[in-house]
Amino acid sequence: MSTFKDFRVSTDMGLSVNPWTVGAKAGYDLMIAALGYEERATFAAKQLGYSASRKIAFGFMHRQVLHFKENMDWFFKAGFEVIEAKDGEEFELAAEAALKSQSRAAGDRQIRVCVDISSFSRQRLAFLTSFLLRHMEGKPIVDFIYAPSTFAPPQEDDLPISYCEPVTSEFGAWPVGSDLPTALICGLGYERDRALGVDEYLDAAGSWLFFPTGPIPEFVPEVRKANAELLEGFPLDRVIYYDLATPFATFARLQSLVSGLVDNYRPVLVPLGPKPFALATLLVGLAHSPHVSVWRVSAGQTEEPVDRPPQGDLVGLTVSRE
Amino acid sequence: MGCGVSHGVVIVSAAFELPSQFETFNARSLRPDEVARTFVPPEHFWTIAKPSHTMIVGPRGSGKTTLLKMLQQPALEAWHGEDAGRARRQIGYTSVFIPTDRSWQIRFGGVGPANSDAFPRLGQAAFSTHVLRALVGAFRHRSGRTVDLMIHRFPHRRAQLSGKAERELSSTLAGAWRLPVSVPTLAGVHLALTERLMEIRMLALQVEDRTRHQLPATELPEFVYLTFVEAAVLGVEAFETAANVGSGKWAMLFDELELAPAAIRTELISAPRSVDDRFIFKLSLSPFSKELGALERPDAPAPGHDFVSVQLSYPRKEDGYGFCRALLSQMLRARNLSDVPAEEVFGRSVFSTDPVAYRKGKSAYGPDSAITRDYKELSRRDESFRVYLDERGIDLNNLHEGSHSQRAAEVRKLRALVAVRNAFRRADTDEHKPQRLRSRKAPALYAGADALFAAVEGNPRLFIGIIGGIFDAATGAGWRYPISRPIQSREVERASHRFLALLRTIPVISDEGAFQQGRPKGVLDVIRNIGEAFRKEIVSGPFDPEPFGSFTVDSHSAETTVDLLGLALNSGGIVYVPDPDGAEVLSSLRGKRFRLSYLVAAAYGLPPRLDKAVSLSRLLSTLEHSGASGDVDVQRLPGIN
Repeated sequence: MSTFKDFRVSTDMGLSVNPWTVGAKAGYDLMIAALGYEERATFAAKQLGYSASRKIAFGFMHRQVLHFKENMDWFFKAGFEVIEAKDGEEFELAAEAALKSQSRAAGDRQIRVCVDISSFSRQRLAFLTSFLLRHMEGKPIVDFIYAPSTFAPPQEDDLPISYCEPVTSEFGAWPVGSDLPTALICGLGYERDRALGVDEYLDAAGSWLFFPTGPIPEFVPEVRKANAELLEGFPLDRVIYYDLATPFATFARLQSLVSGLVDNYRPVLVPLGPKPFALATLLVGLAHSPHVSVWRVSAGQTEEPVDRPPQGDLVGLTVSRE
Repeated sequence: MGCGVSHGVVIVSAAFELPSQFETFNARSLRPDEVARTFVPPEHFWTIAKPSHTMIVGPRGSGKTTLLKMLQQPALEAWHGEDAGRARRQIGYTSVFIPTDRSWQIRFGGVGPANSDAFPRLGQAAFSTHVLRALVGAFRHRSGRTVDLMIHRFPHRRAQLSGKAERELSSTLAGAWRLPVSVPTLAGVHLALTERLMEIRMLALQVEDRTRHQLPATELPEFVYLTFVEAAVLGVEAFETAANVGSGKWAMLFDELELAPAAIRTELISAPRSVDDRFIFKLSLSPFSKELGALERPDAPAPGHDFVSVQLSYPRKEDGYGFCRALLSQMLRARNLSDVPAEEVFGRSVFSTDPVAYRKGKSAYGPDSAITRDYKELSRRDESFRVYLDERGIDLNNLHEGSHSQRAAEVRKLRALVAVRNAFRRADTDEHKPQRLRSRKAPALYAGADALFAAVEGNPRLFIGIIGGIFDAATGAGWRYPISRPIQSREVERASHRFLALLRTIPVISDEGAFQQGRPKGVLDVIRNIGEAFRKEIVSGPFDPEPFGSFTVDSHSAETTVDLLGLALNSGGIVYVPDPDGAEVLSSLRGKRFRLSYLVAAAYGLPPRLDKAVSLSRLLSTLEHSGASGDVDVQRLPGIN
C-alpha cells in the first residue's frame, strides 16, 4: 500500500484518486456503512466510525440472516442511524436525502465522507459513488474503505442469472458510438464459468480479464479453477493480475487500459469478484462517462448468503472531484 | 486525461492486434469492407439481395449481420471474387445499415421508471436519430465524403455532389430535422445527430430524476416528435435533388431487431404496407418474438406477398452442409493450406449414414469391421439391444450380406444410437443398480466432417470458432490430415461448454417471491431437463430403434418453461422444426416442434439426429417419475467436464 502513497491519478472528468492509508486522519463528517448479514459489515465502522460526526448504516430489506441482527444491534449502540430500504428507487431516495441534508449542514465547507464498501451490493455502491462524486454539492472528499475477508470456499453456484445489464442507468453507456466494437473488461470471481458466460453473452471484439490476488492465497486456485475454461489459451498479456491489498494500483491499471481502448472500442466493465475491483470500475466508468458502461451480472437475491468474516486489514482509496 | 503514475500502468498499443483464437467472429464489430474480405455467400444471400421487403430470421450467430452488411455500398465496392460482380449488378438500391444497440433496449426497456410517458417518446427519438445518422452515413458514402481505408476498385452507385450542393443539402437537412448544424457539410450534420443522441441521454436522465422525485415532467423539445419515415423521405429527396440523380430505391437494413424496444419492432414489422414505396425494409430478427403476433392480423404484411421470409437455421442438418463446405474451403485457402474435401481433413464421422459411402464401402459392415465390432460390443453389454437383434433375426456376422435389403438399411440407421450407447452407457452387469453413464471419459465421438458440420448447425460464427480452434490446435501439433479425432472432439467440447455457459447467463427475472417458491429456473435448467430426458430415452433406457429425440410444446407445458424455451430458441439452444407449410417466424411456441441444437445435444451424449417428436410435458414427466437426472454423472459428458 505504501508503494503508491505518493501518487495520484486525475481523470478527464476531474476525479482525483489517491491511495488511502491506515494512518490517514479520519475526522469524518459522515460515515456510511452497509447493514447486511456478513460479519465484516461492522469491521471498518469499529475502526473508523468513532470519529465521525454522523453515522448511517443502510440496511437491506431482504436476507436478514446470519449476522444481520447482531450487526444491527451494534450499529444502534454505536450511534448509527439505521435506514432500511428496498433496493432501487427506495434506497436511492433515502440515500440522496441523507447525503443532501449533510451537504446543506456543511454549507460551503468541504466535507469528508467514509464509505465502507465491503458489504454493499454493486447496485447500491454504484448509486453512492455516482451521487457523491458527480451530484453532491460541496465536492466531498470520500474515503472508500474495504475490509478483505478470510477465505470462504465457493458455493456450487448453478443459479440462473437474474441481472445482466448496466448496474444503474447512469452507468449504462449511450449508443453514440454504436458503430464501435465492444471491448469486455471482466473481473474474475470464483463463480464457476460466470465470466465465460459473460464473455459469450457480450460476444465482444476483444476481452481483458482482471485476476484477483492478495493476502489470502486460498482464493487464487479457486478463481483459477472456476475460470479454467476461459483461461485456457487466453492471451497472457490480457490477463491482468491485481492485488486486493492495493486498490490504487488496481484503479490505475484499469484507468490506463480503458484510456487506451476508449477511442477505438466501447468498453463494457463487468466487475465480478471482490469489491475493490467493482469500485475501480465505477470510478473509471464515471471518468469516461458516457462512453464506458459498468454492468452487474448476478443471480440477485437468489444467491445463497455466505458469511465473510474480516481478515483484519483495511484498504481503500481517497477520491474527490477536482 | 493526466496519469501521474509510472507503476502498474497497462500499456495498450494503438493497433490492438488480436490473437486469432480470440478474435471476434461477430460481424457486428467489423467494418463492411472487413466483412467483404472473407465473405462466402450462402444461397440465402441472393434472395436477401433482391429489391423486396425481407425478414431474415435466425438465432444468434447465424450470419444475419454479415448478410445485411454485405448489401452496403462499401462492402460491395470492396468485395472481389466470382460472385461479387453478380451482386453489384443485382443490387440496384442504396443500403442504409442500422444496428440496434443492446444498451439502448435496456435504457428504455428496463431501467427507466415505468410510469413515465416521456421514456417511450425519448426512445422513439433516439431510434429516429439513429436512423437519420445512418442515412447521412449512406449519403456520405455515395458522394465519396468518407475517409476510405482502402481504394475502392469496384465503384457502386456513386453520386457526384459539388461543394455548393453539399452546403445546400446540409442546410435543408438541418432545417427539416431541427438540427443546429454549425458546419454545413454532411459531416457537420452527422456530428449534430451525434450531439442529439447525447442530448436525448441527458433528457432521459432528467426525466428519470424528476420521476423519482415525483416532480412534474419537463416539456420535451420539438425534435422528439419527428418520425423517422417522414424525416428519411425528406432526406432522400433532398439528397437525390442535390446530387442530381434520379429517384431510386433505398433499403433500410435493421439489424438485431430483437434487441429493439417492442414498440419499434412492431412498427417496423408492419411497415411494408404503409411506407413510401421507394423504401425497402430488410429486418433481421431472432426466430421468436411475441410481437410477431402482429403478423397474424388480417391486415398485416403477409409472408410471400408483402415480404420475403428467409430462415437461417437448418432443422435438417444436411441442408447446411453445402455452406459449411464452402466456408471450409475459404478457411483452408486463407491459411495457405490445400483445399481438399472435408472428409480428408477431418475423416468420416461415426454418425454418418451416407448411403453412397455405405454402398462403396460394403466391407465397412463386414464381420471384422470396426462398425460391426461396435454393434457386437453393444450386444454384449446391452441386453435390450440383444433382444432387439434377436427379435428381428439380425445376425451381426452377416450385416454386409444384405446391403440392398430394407433390413440392412435399418441396421445402418442404428449406427449413431449404437455409438452413443456404447460410449456413455454402463454395461448391464448389475440388474439392481440404476443405469448410469459409463465411467470413462467421453471418447472422440464428436469428430469427423459430418459430426462437425452438424454441431455448427450451418452457423458461421460457430463454424469459424470451432474449425478455427481445430486448425490452431492441429497447426500447433504439426499440421497433417486427417486431423486427430481428440483434437476435433476437444474443440467441440469447448464450444459446447461455452454455449452452456451462455445459456446460464441469459438473464431471467427472478424476484424474491420466485425464490421463496423454490429454486428459480433459468434457460439452462430447462435445456438440462430436456437433455437428460432424451438421454434417458436414447442412451440409458431400453433400446428403441426409433426413440423420441424432438419435442412439441403442448398446452400442458408451464408458461415459465415456454418463456425460457423462447430465450433458448433465440440463442440457438433449440432449433425450430417447421412443418412443410409451417410459419418461419414464431409469436408462440405452443404446438410447434423443436429439437435440441446439436452442440447442446453433444453435451448430453446424444447423437446429431432428428428423431421423432414427443410432447414436452410427457417428456419432462419421465424425469419426475424416475428421478433419472440424479442417477447420471453429468461431469463425464462432453461439454460439461
